[in-house]
Amino acid sequence: MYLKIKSKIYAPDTIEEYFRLIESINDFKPVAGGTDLTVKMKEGSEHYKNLILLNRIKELKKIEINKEYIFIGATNTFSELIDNSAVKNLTSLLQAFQNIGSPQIRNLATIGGNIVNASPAADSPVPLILYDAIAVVANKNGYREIFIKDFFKDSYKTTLEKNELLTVIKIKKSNFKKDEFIKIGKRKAVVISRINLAYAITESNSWRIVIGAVTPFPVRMLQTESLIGSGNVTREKIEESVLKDILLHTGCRPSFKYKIPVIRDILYKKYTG
Amino acid sequence: MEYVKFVLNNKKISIEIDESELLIDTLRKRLCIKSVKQGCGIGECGTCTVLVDNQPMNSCLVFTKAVENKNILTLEGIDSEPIEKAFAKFGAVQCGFCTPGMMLVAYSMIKSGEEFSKDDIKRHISGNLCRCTGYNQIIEAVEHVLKN
Repeated sequence: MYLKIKSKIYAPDTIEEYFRLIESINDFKPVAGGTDLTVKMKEGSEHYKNLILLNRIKELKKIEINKEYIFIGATNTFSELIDNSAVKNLTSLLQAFQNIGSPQIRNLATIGGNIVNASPAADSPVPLILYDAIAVVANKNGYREIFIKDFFKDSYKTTLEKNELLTVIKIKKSNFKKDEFIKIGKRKAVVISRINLAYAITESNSWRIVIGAVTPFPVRMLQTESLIGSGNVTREKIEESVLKDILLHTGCRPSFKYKIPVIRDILYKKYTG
Repeated sequence: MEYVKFVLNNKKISIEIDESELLIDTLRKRLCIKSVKQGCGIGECGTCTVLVDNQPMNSCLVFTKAVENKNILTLEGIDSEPIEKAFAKFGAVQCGFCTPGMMLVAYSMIKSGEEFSKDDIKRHISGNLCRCTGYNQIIEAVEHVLKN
């Protein structure tokens, strides 16, 4: 049926141990939940001599809140996050978590894995970009911070270097009047998004809109945000600006015949209330 | 090859595995736990569902090494009689292939001690596919067990 996975497995207990380990081995991949990786390895599209399980590293599980920020450790599973009061007020993020995969997958898959796997249809990056969330990336010498919106290079490609590890996702507390995540797929559960979208209405009544599963990675729809801000909104004008926003990042695709009208209608419906 | 320790169906075990072995293979091939089924192999059908620390997971996606020192439950290790009786009463079993996974999900709901609506039940079993029953009988059976 599928290939047998033949790799050496390591399971370090700390971030420091992880970085010491990767100095002495090559051809390795860090594994959080593994829900994407094991499938790719079974199908033969990826293979690594060494796999490094991250699930014992307590530092990657921390969830903390201070006055300004919410910090989410990268190896928290979606189930753990759904149950955690820290994300209670991050409505669109919580909604994204709740609709990923299935209960079994949510018990295993992690927010860090979802981001680093960088599927164009990944759900959690969409609201994370809405919130201007930051990826805290460690290497053996320290940390760097990068906005998640700048973290993606292409579908399935991020700016993460081989010797780096995504450790924490940092989200600034925001005062959105409203935010929502919408997932469009072929059925009600175990769905890979065909379209995913998050929007927020800020205190000043301006709109922020992030679209995913249509471009190589999720992006803000700046023209459409402007259009809605201008108040001069018709269904046709939304369709025009949505297409403009998307064509900035990708060529015309056959799926647009379906996706553009759907995005147009979602936004029109949400705008007219 | 290396040794891994975990608790399976309330028994402590230590077993030699291929390092990167998946839990489904350890259970089915080394430990003869046949209630765990090989379905899609990619975490979509739920027939390989096991409970890890009372959380349903797709064992086809889990490295056995990752569940070291954890509590694994399969159908063989739970008091399934009330669940089995309900499934029989409501016609929730036809070919039976999805049944172990469905029963483990029901068991985890009972163990949580919480109350669940019909919609909650649907959501909980949403990761377990059934090609035979159309789900209603399963939902009714689970509703019945949760009430009693």
